[in-house]
Amino acid sequence: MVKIKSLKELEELRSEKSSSVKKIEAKEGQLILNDLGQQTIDSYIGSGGYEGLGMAIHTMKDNNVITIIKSSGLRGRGGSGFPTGSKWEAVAGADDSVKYVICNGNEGDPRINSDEMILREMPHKIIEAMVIAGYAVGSHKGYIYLPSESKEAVENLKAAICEAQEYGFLGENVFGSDFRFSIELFTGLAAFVAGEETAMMAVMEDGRPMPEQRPLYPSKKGLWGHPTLINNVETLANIPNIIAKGNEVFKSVGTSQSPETMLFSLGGRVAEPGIYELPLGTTLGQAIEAAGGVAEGKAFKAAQVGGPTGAFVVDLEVSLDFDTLEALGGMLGSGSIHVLDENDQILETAKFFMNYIVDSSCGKCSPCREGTKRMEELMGYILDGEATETDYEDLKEMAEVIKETSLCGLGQSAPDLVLSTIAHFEEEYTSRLKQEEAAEE
Amino acid sequence: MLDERLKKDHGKAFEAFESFMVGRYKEKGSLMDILSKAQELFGCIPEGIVVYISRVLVIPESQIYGVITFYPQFIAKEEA
Repeated sequence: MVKIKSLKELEELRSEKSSSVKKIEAKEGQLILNDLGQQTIDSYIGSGGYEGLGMAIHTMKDNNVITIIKSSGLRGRGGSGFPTGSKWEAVAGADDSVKYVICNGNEGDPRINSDEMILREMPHKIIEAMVIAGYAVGSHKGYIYLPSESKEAVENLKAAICEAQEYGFLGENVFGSDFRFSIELFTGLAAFVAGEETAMMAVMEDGRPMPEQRPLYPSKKGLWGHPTLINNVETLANIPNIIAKGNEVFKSVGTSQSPETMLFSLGGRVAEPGIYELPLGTTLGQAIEAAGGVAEGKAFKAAQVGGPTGAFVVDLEVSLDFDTLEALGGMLGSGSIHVLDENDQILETAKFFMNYIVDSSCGKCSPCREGTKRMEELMGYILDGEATETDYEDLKEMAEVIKETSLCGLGQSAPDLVLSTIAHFEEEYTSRLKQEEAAEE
Repeated sequence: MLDERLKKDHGKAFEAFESFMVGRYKEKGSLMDILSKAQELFGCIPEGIVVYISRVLVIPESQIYGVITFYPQFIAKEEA
């Protein structure tokens, strides 16, 4: 197999391969989903793959790459929405000869599978992005963490890594340069909390998935004590496009604070549940329309945005981007939207997800371990009509305290369930309390 | 001693596990992989196997149990 050494060789190979590529109809405004079904390296190169890597290595210095990522305004898609460029800069600035790049493919949320889909359908995109990341921050070793349950993704990635080595995109002399980079798969078991960066590294260091106190941040002291760059799958999937096509294209799509598109997983009571790629800043109503509207023509009641710990949103005009949702006391998270219709019970649903959080809590810090359990208990009392006004006040206060004192994102966002349902559906709580008091008298 | 007892108790499953563990002395970051294999081979993770893993990887048994008990997918069971 001939190793590719320059952009010119890549160009020749692409024109050779492009005839064999089955053309996927490119849709307006789709940047990631247009590359669906490119599992093999031939089809990926045929549709413009590895161009970003070639450009990064042959035409840019490592700090130029970071400047481009920074100016693109790309933000982490895993949950917190942290600016990706700043993260890269911090790792690049860390002084250590050994650095790691980790691709976070742990999804946890049982209702969505957009990360798994990316790893399964376009493994080369992730490999390319990781090599670019390695080049930019000065790392030579990458890990892709994914749950062993997603078997097809594991198989496709293994094959893709071999192919990339054959073509010279991985290994000793990446793209004919003297930069070396290798990628290894790490398969863990599905666990919601393991998506937290420090918990994930604990698993990779043979421990329990428990988050660490910050600072120190992983960019200073990460895997085995070395500076580590951890990016979510979907974040990385955006990198090759940004490098190859420039960041200005992307800024035209989303809002000024959150550019680009994002994969939204729409579920619950929508006509066509699934993964939809929409520009950030799309309103909640438009997103539900994209999924065929509320199922069976029923009326919309609320939507839980941002995974099991996400807040309930009732306003269809809410813009789906990181800052708006944060201002509302929730988070965009990994972009999951669970829609409830007029017949759904808010309190029951909230308690159901609280139960999931109780199961997922790692148990390291007490606000989350004890607090989420107690919140679930109180919600149960309220549902059964056994709670008093004091219990309700306790629940509210507890939610505030847990939000402030929990160690990691799981505990910090879990109370959003309670706080957002109280904010929008207070009568669902209080009506149940009043009944109980009336019975006492 | 331990090897012989495990061989007697688990027969072919242990032989398969033993060959899986070859070359893993003090190997870092492989515990998850090893526990998944053990679970698959034995249907649980027997006490003797934990001791065996702890000796090969040179990590404390407590750390291994910490991981086993975290995941519902792993079953720790006393050897019958």
